[in-house]
Amino acid sequence: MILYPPESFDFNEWVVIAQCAVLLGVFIRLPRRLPRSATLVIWVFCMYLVRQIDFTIAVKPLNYYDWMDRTQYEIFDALMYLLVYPIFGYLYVHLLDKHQFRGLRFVLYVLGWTLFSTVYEWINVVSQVLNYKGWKLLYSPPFYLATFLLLTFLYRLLRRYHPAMAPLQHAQKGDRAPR
Amino acid sequence: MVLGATIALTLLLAAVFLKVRKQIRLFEGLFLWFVISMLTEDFITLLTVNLKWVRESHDLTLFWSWVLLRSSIQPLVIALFVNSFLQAASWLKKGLYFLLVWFVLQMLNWVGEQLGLFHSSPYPYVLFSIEWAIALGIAIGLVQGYRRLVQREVRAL
Repeated sequence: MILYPPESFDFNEWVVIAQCAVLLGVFIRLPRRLPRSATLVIWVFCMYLVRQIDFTIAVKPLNYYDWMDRTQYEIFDALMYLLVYPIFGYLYVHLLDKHQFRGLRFVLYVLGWTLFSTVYEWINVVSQVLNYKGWKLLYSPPFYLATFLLLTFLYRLLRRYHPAMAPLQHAQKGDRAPR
Repeated sequence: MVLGATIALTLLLAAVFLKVRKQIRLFEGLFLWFVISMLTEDFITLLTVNLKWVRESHDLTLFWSWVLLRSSIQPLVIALFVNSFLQAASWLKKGLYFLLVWFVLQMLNWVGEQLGLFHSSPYPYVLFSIEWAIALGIAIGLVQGYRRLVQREVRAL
Protein backbone atom coordinates (compact mmCIF):
# COMPACT_ATOMS: atom_id res chain seq x y z
CA MET A 1 0.00 0.00 0.00
CA ILE A 2 1.33 3.44 -0.82
CA LEU A 3 -0.71 5.80 1.35
CA TYR A 4 -3.85 4.64 3.10
CA PRO A 5 -7.09 6.51 2.49
CA PRO A 6 -9.21 7.43 5.55
CA GLU A 7 -11.40 4.64 6.96
CA SER A 8 -14.39 6.96 6.75
CA PHE A 9 -14.47 10.47 5.38
CA ASP A 10 -16.05 12.37 8.26
CA PHE A 11 -15.53 15.30 10.63
CA ASN A 12 -11.81 14.91 11.33
CA GLU A 13 -10.96 14.85 7.61
CA TRP A 14 -12.94 18.06 7.10
CA VAL A 15 -11.10 19.64 10.03
CA VAL A 16 -7.76 18.87 8.36
CA ILE A 17 -8.97 20.22 5.00
CA ALA A 18 -10.22 23.40 6.68
CA GLN A 19 -6.88 23.85 8.50
CA CYS A 20 -4.95 23.38 5.27
CA ALA A 21 -7.16 25.82 3.36
CA VAL A 22 -6.97 28.55 6.01
CA LEU A 23 -3.24 28.18 6.55
CA LEU A 24 -2.46 28.08 2.84
CA GLY A 25 -4.55 31.23 2.38
CA VAL A 26 -2.63 32.97 5.16
CA PHE A 27 0.71 31.80 3.78
CA ILE A 28 -0.05 32.97 0.24
CA ARG A 29 -1.27 36.38 1.40
CA LEU A 30 1.67 37.06 3.69
CA PRO A 31 4.18 39.55 2.30
CA ARG A 32 7.45 37.73 1.60
CA ARG A 33 10.08 38.66 4.18
CA LEU A 34 12.49 35.76 3.71
CA PRO A 35 14.14 34.48 0.52
CA ARG A 36 12.70 31.31 -0.96
CA SER A 37 15.81 29.32 -0.08
CA ALA A 38 15.45 30.28 3.61
CA THR A 39 11.70 29.52 3.57
CA LEU A 40 12.53 26.12 2.08
CA VAL A 41 14.94 25.32 4.93
CA ILE A 42 12.33 26.35 7.54
CA TRP A 43 9.66 24.34 5.74
CA VAL A 44 11.64 21.10 5.52
CA PHE A 45 12.96 21.58 9.06
CA CYS A 46 9.39 21.70 10.42
CA MET A 47 8.40 18.64 8.41
CA TYR A 48 11.52 16.84 9.53
CA LEU A 49 11.04 17.66 13.21
CA VAL A 50 7.37 16.72 13.43
CA ARG A 51 7.96 13.48 11.55
CA GLN A 52 10.98 12.57 13.64
CA ILE A 53 8.93 13.04 16.80
CA ASP A 54 5.92 11.18 15.41
CA PHE A 55 7.95 8.36 13.90
CA THR A 56 9.68 7.96 17.25
CA ILE A 57 6.98 8.26 19.91
CA ALA A 58 3.85 7.52 17.89
CA VAL A 59 5.01 4.10 16.68
CA LYS A 60 5.67 0.86 18.53
CA PRO A 61 7.17 0.22 21.02
CA LEU A 62 6.19 3.62 22.50
CA ASN A 63 3.07 4.26 20.39
CA TYR A 64 1.57 7.12 22.41
CA TYR A 65 -0.85 8.48 19.83
CA ASP A 66 -2.26 8.12 16.32
CA TRP A 67 -3.15 10.66 13.69
CA MET A 68 -6.61 10.36 12.08
CA ASP A 69 -8.46 7.02 11.76
CA ARG A 70 -5.68 4.49 11.24
CA THR A 71 -2.50 3.49 13.00
CA GLN A 72 -0.83 3.42 9.56
CA TYR A 73 0.50 6.38 7.66
CA GLU A 74 -2.45 7.83 5.74
CA ILE A 75 -3.12 10.63 3.28
CA PHE A 76 -4.35 13.11 5.89
CA ASP A 77 -1.30 12.48 8.11
CA ALA A 78 0.81 13.46 5.11
CA LEU A 79 -1.22 16.68 4.68
CA MET A 80 -0.51 17.64 8.30
CA TYR A 81 3.21 17.06 7.78
CA LEU A 82 3.35 18.73 4.38
CA LEU A 83 1.29 21.83 5.05
CA VAL A 84 -0.05 22.46 8.54
CA TYR A 85 3.07 22.26 10.69
CA PRO A 86 5.47 23.89 8.21
CA ILE A 87 3.12 26.87 7.77
CA PHE A 88 2.84 27.31 11.55
CA GLY A 89 6.63 27.19 11.75
CA TYR A 90 6.93 29.70 8.94
CA LEU A 91 4.43 32.03 10.64
CA TYR A 92 6.44 31.85 13.85
CA VAL A 93 9.64 32.81 12.02
CA HIS A 94 7.90 35.45 9.91
CA LEU A 95 6.58 37.29 12.97
CA LEU A 96 9.90 36.88 14.78
CA ASP A 97 11.70 38.41 11.81
CA LYS A 98 9.18 41.22 11.52
CA HIS A 99 9.16 42.25 15.18
CA GLN A 100 12.67 41.18 16.24
CA PHE A 101 11.56 40.35 19.78
CA ARG A 102 14.26 40.55 22.43
CA GLY A 103 14.41 39.89 26.17
CA LEU A 104 11.09 39.63 27.97
CA ARG A 105 9.10 40.18 24.77
CA PHE A 106 10.86 37.21 23.20
CA VAL A 107 10.11 35.02 26.24
CA LEU A 108 6.44 36.04 26.05
CA TYR A 109 6.41 35.41 22.30
CA VAL A 110 7.74 31.86 22.68
CA LEU A 111 5.43 31.12 25.62
CA GLY A 112 2.50 32.52 23.64
CA TRP A 113 3.23 30.18 20.72
CA THR A 114 3.66 27.27 23.13
CA LEU A 115 0.26 28.00 24.66
CA PHE A 116 -1.32 28.47 21.24
CA SER A 117 0.12 25.16 20.00
CA THR A 118 -1.15 23.32 23.07
CA VAL A 119 -4.65 24.76 22.55
CA TYR A 120 -4.41 23.87 18.86
CA GLU A 121 -3.46 20.31 19.79
CA TRP A 122 -6.44 20.16 22.18
CA ILE A 123 -8.73 21.20 19.30
CA ASN A 124 -7.24 18.41 17.19
CA VAL A 125 -7.81 15.92 20.01
CA VAL A 126 -11.44 17.03 20.43
CA SER A 127 -12.02 16.74 16.68
CA GLN A 128 -10.30 13.31 16.61
CA VAL A 129 -7.58 14.40 14.25
CA LEU A 130 -5.22 13.26 16.99
CA ASN A 131 -6.06 10.20 19.07
CA TYR A 132 -4.16 9.72 22.32
CA LYS A 133 -3.15 6.21 23.36
CA GLY A 134 -1.44 7.00 26.65
CA TRP A 135 -0.27 10.51 25.80
CA LYS A 136 -1.58 13.49 27.80
CA LEU A 137 -1.98 17.11 26.69
CA LEU A 138 0.16 18.11 29.65
CA TYR A 139 3.20 16.35 28.11
CA SER A 140 3.10 18.47 24.95
CA PRO A 141 4.12 22.03 26.05
CA PRO A 142 7.79 21.09 26.71
CA PHE A 143 7.98 19.66 23.17
CA TYR A 144 6.48 22.84 21.70
CA LEU A 145 8.78 25.02 23.76
CA ALA A 146 11.81 23.06 22.55
CA THR A 147 10.51 23.21 18.96
CA PHE A 148 10.13 27.00 19.02
CA LEU A 149 13.54 27.44 20.60
CA LEU A 150 15.03 25.25 17.84
CA LEU A 151 13.18 27.29 15.23
CA THR A 152 14.56 30.47 16.79
CA PHE A 153 18.05 29.00 16.63
CA LEU A 154 17.54 28.09 12.97
CA TYR A 155 16.23 31.59 12.25
CA ARG A 156 19.26 33.19 13.92
CA LEU A 157 21.55 30.89 11.89
CA LEU A 158 19.76 31.96 8.71
CA ARG A 159 19.96 35.64 9.63
CA ARG A 160 23.62 35.37 10.39
CA TYR A 161 24.99 33.05 7.74
CA HIS A 162 22.52 32.70 4.89
CA PRO A 163 23.97 34.60 1.92
CA ALA A 164 20.58 35.51 0.42
CA MET A 165 19.10 37.09 3.56
CA ALA A 166 18.55 40.81 3.01
CA PRO A 167 19.58 43.14 5.84
CA LEU A 168 16.83 43.96 8.34
CA GLN A 169 14.62 46.75 7.09
CA HIS A 170 13.76 48.54 10.29
CA ALA A 171 15.95 49.86 13.07
CA GLN A 172 15.56 48.35 16.49
CA LYS A 173 14.57 50.39 19.47
CA GLY A 174 17.77 51.71 20.95
CA ASP A 175 19.79 51.00 17.80
CA ARG A 176 21.97 53.81 16.58
CA ALA A 177 21.68 54.97 13.04
CA PRO A 178 24.70 53.95 10.93
CA ARG A 179 27.16 56.75 10.32
CA MET B 1 25.96 -2.88 22.92
CA VAL B 2 24.15 -2.31 19.63
CA LEU B 3 23.03 1.13 20.81
CA GLY B 4 26.58 1.98 21.92
CA ALA B 5 27.96 0.90 18.55
CA THR B 6 25.30 2.93 16.74
CA ILE B 7 26.05 6.05 18.80
CA ALA B 8 29.80 5.57 18.22
CA LEU B 9 29.25 5.16 14.47
CA THR B 10 27.06 8.28 14.37
CA LEU B 11 29.69 10.35 16.21
CA LEU B 12 32.47 8.98 14.02
CA LEU B 13 30.59 9.76 10.81
CA ALA B 14 29.69 13.24 12.08
CA ALA B 15 33.35 13.92 12.97
CA VAL B 16 34.53 12.67 9.56
CA PHE B 17 31.90 14.76 7.80
CA LEU B 18 32.82 17.93 9.70
CA LYS B 19 36.50 17.28 8.97
CA VAL B 20 36.22 16.62 5.24
CA ARG B 21 33.25 18.88 4.42
CA LYS B 22 34.52 21.20 1.73
CA GLN B 23 31.88 21.14 -0.98
CA ILE B 24 28.72 21.40 1.10
CA ARG B 25 27.82 24.73 2.65
CA LEU B 26 25.91 25.05 5.94
CA PHE B 27 22.38 25.44 4.60
CA GLU B 28 22.90 23.01 1.75
CA GLY B 29 23.94 20.47 4.39
CA LEU B 30 20.94 21.21 6.61
CA PHE B 31 18.55 21.09 3.67
CA LEU B 32 20.07 17.80 2.52
CA TRP B 33 19.88 16.31 6.01
CA PHE B 34 16.21 17.16 6.53
CA VAL B 35 15.08 16.04 3.08
CA ILE B 36 17.16 12.88 2.89
CA SER B 37 16.10 11.80 6.34
CA MET B 38 12.44 12.14 5.31
CA LEU B 39 13.15 10.50 2.00
CA THR B 40 14.69 7.40 3.56
CA GLU B 41 11.62 7.10 5.79
CA ASP B 42 9.24 7.61 2.90
CA PHE B 43 10.93 4.99 0.79
CA ILE B 44 10.02 2.63 3.56
CA THR B 45 6.64 3.98 4.59
CA LEU B 46 5.16 5.03 1.28
CA LEU B 47 6.35 2.36 -1.06
CA THR B 48 5.75 -0.84 0.78
CA VAL B 49 5.82 -1.86 4.37
CA ASN B 50 4.28 1.12 6.12
CA LEU B 51 6.54 1.40 9.14
CA LYS B 52 6.96 -2.32 9.52
CA TRP B 53 10.60 -1.71 10.38
CA VAL B 54 9.64 0.26 13.44
CA ARG B 55 6.49 -1.46 14.41
CA GLU B 56 7.99 -4.89 14.73
CA SER B 57 10.86 -3.92 16.98
CA HIS B 58 9.72 -3.89 20.61
CA ASP B 59 13.16 -3.71 22.14
CA LEU B 60 13.80 -0.09 23.18
CA THR B 61 17.58 -0.30 22.72
CA LEU B 62 17.19 -1.62 19.20
CA PHE B 63 14.47 0.91 18.56
CA TRP B 64 16.72 3.87 19.47
CA SER B 65 19.49 2.36 17.35
CA TRP B 66 17.04 2.26 14.47
CA VAL B 67 16.08 5.90 15.10
CA LEU B 68 19.77 6.85 14.93
CA LEU B 69 20.27 4.78 11.79
CA ARG B 70 17.50 6.47 9.85
CA SER B 71 17.86 10.01 11.19
CA SER B 72 21.64 10.36 11.40
CA ILE B 73 23.71 7.52 9.99
CA GLN B 74 22.02 7.20 6.60
CA PRO B 75 21.88 11.01 6.01
CA LEU B 76 25.52 11.36 7.10
CA VAL B 77 26.68 8.62 4.71
CA ILE B 78 24.74 10.33 1.92
CA ALA B 79 26.15 13.75 2.84
CA LEU B 80 29.68 12.30 2.75
CA PHE B 81 28.88 10.87 -0.66
CA VAL B 82 27.62 14.21 -2.01
CA ASN B 83 30.74 15.92 -0.69
CA SER B 84 33.03 13.38 -2.39
CA PHE B 85 30.96 13.39 -5.58
CA LEU B 86 31.16 17.17 -5.93
CA GLN B 87 34.87 17.10 -5.14
CA ALA B 88 35.73 14.40 -7.67
CA ALA B 89 37.32 15.75 -10.81
CA SER B 90 36.46 12.99 -13.27
CA TRP B 91 33.22 11.19 -14.06
CA LEU B 92 34.97 7.87 -13.48
CA LYS B 93 35.72 8.89 -9.90
CA LYS B 94 32.18 10.16 -9.45
CA GLY B 95 30.81 6.83 -10.71
CA LEU B 96 33.08 4.88 -8.38
CA TYR B 97 31.96 6.96 -5.39
CA PHE B 98 28.37 6.34 -6.41
CA LEU B 99 28.89 2.56 -6.52
CA LEU B 100 30.87 2.52 -3.29
CA VAL B 101 28.29 4.46 -1.27
CA TRP B 102 25.42 2.56 -2.85
CA PHE B 103 27.14 -0.63 -1.64
CA VAL B 104 27.80 0.85 1.84
CA LEU B 105 24.13 1.80 2.24
CA GLN B 106 23.05 -1.71 1.40
CA MET B 107 25.58 -3.12 3.83
CA LEU B 108 24.12 -0.82 6.50
CA ASN B 109 20.68 -2.26 5.75
CA TRP B 110 21.99 -5.79 5.87
CA VAL B 111 23.91 -5.26 9.14
CA GLY B 112 20.87 -3.47 10.62
CA GLU B 113 18.72 -6.45 9.82
CA GLN B 114 21.28 -8.92 11.18
CA LEU B 115 21.48 -6.95 14.44
CA GLY B 116 17.72 -6.91 14.72
CA LEU B 117 17.18 -3.16 14.31
CA PHE B 118 14.25 -4.16 12.17
CA HIS B 119 12.77 -7.58 11.73
CA SER B 120 11.45 -9.80 9.00
CA SER B 121 10.80 -7.00 6.60
CA PRO B 122 9.06 -8.44 3.57
CA TYR B 123 10.85 -5.82 1.55
CA PRO B 124 12.85 -7.33 -1.32
CA TYR B 125 16.48 -6.29 -1.38
CA VAL B 126 16.38 -5.48 -5.05
CA LEU B 127 13.97 -2.64 -4.24
CA PHE B 128 16.32 -1.35 -1.55
CA SER B 129 19.07 -1.25 -4.15
CA ILE B 130 16.99 0.74 -6.60
CA GLU B 131 15.83 3.08 -3.85
CA TRP B 132 19.32 3.84 -2.65
CA ALA B 133 20.45 4.55 -6.19
CA ILE B 134 17.53 6.98 -6.57
CA ALA B 135 18.26 8.53 -3.16
CA LEU B 136 21.88 9.21 -4.11
CA GLY B 137 20.79 10.82 -7.37
CA ILE B 138 18.21 12.95 -5.56
CA ALA B 139 20.79 14.02 -2.96
CA ILE B 140 23.08 15.44 -5.63
CA GLY B 141 20.15 17.13 -7.36
CA LEU B 142 19.00 18.64 -4.07
CA VAL B 143 22.35 20.19 -3.20
CA GLN B 144 22.95 21.54 -6.68
CA GLY B 145 19.37 22.81 -7.05
CA TYR B 146 19.51 24.51 -3.66
CA ARG B 147 22.87 26.06 -4.53
CA ARG B 148 21.49 27.49 -7.79
CA LEU B 149 18.48 28.92 -5.99
CA VAL B 150 20.71 30.68 -3.43
CA GLN B 151 23.02 31.99 -6.15
CA ARG B 152 20.06 33.41 -8.05
CA GLU B 153 18.77 35.11 -4.91
CA VAL B 154 22.18 36.51 -4.04
CA ARG B 155 22.50 37.99 -7.52
CA ALA B 156 19.06 39.55 -7.16
CA LEU B 157 19.92 41.21 -3.83
